[in-house]
Amino acid sequence: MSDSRLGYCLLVDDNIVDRFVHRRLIEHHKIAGEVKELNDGKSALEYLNSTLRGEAPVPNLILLDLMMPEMDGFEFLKHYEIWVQKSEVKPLLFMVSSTEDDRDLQRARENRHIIKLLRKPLVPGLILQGIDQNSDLK
Amino acid sequence: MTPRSATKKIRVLYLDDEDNNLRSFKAAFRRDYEVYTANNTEDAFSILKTHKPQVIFSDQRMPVTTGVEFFNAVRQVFPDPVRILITGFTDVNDIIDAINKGHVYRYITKPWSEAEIKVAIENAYDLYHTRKQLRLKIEDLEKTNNELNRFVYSVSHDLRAPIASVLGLVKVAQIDVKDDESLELFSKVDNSVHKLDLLVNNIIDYYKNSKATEELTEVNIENLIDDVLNHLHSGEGRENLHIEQNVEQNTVFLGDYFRIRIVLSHLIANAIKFKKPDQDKAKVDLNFTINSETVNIKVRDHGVGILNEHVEQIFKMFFRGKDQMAGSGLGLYIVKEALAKMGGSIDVSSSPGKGAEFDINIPNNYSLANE
Repeated sequence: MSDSRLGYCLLVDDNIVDRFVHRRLIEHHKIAGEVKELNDGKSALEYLNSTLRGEAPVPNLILLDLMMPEMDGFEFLKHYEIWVQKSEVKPLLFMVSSTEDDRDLQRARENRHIIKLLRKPLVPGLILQGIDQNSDLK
Repeated sequence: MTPRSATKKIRVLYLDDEDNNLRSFKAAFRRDYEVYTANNTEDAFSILKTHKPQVIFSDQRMPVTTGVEFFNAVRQVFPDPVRILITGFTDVNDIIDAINKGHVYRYITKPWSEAEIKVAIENAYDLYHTRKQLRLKIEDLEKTNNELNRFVYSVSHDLRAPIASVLGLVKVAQIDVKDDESLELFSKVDNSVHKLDLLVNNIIDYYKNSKATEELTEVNIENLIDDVLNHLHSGEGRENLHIEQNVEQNTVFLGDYFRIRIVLSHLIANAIKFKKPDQDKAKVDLNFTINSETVNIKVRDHGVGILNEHVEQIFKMFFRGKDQMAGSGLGLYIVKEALAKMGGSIDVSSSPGKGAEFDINIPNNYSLANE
């Protein structure tokens, strides 16, 4: 889809319903042309590493859940830090969570890789707004 | 009298610099009580440490320290045992002083009688036992209370995820479903689930506020407003809101960030909820005046306002203005509680049709911390 804002989007979330919702909202609002779903931080990391070998497209946008089994969002970001230095494309990354903990908001703000922590249910307008404000990073 | 098993004798310590007194005390009471004696404070402390007596007697007049001084030292380290002073009549002023300061439970004058000491021991043990029971009960209650709070919190927390999923699904349905009847039903689902979400969030805020500690951090107003907006729910979302903010700040604001966030979240959510029906967006004026002593926040909305007869009641738990208005009746109660925990205050002035202005004062801990 050439009329989308961004090319390739990665959804990292263990909740299958939320992945479905996010995929539909991204498609409907033409935020990304193609969407790939992954179940947790670990498989997301494996995916990202495979992009370094040219085996898969590098995402332009990542929606990262916080609470996930095996490797949660913040844990994932520690490894992401290393990956992003090797990657030619720096994706726009939003954390998306149903968290009510103010500390998570603070941690997300302090993490330079997160554009913003968005609370579920996802408001697509906030992603579009974040993309506009960070379009120089694209 | 407190019942206790025959095998468990009351443990009594007696401190006196005269060994004769110690011997006759021991001889008189060894059958009924577990008696320990010491002729200097050092020995007395080591007995307190190893044998944990419940009742302590001490002579007042001793060469190095007085009995009152000894008791004062004891109660810093071993607050539980009941302390009884043995003394001659001449020390009356010292004794009155000691009793008034709480160093000593009672005193017995020399020469003591066996019966008098026995009654004193039994009464003192009663007191010891009751205090101990009371403390255990309080600990028990606090534990239960904490567990209950934690339980409510974790349940609420776990509820949020599926609620958010349902709200997301409804959004997708509103995009993908074309049939009017179904759309109408989805909009009702949306409404009900939003109410549920609001209630769950209020419970979570209530819990956060109930925790005793104040966590002071430097409050950045930009981040604060951003977090407040982030905590709004899609039903009361920022798309329905226009904020005019004005910040006058000449010093650092050190405060309890999360509680302040909770206070503003509820007031702004209310502003959206109570906008006039003909208003497209809720308009809110936020004014921060940050001085070294206090932080004043004025939250002014241009909504329907508050009825005079309700102004006194809005901060009460479970108060709801009109039945048709969505809400748990917890919001402003949580606001008031949060401010009370911070040592702050809130006032409201309003007239129907003209909106409401909430006037909040919070101490700025920055000046306190730098004094």
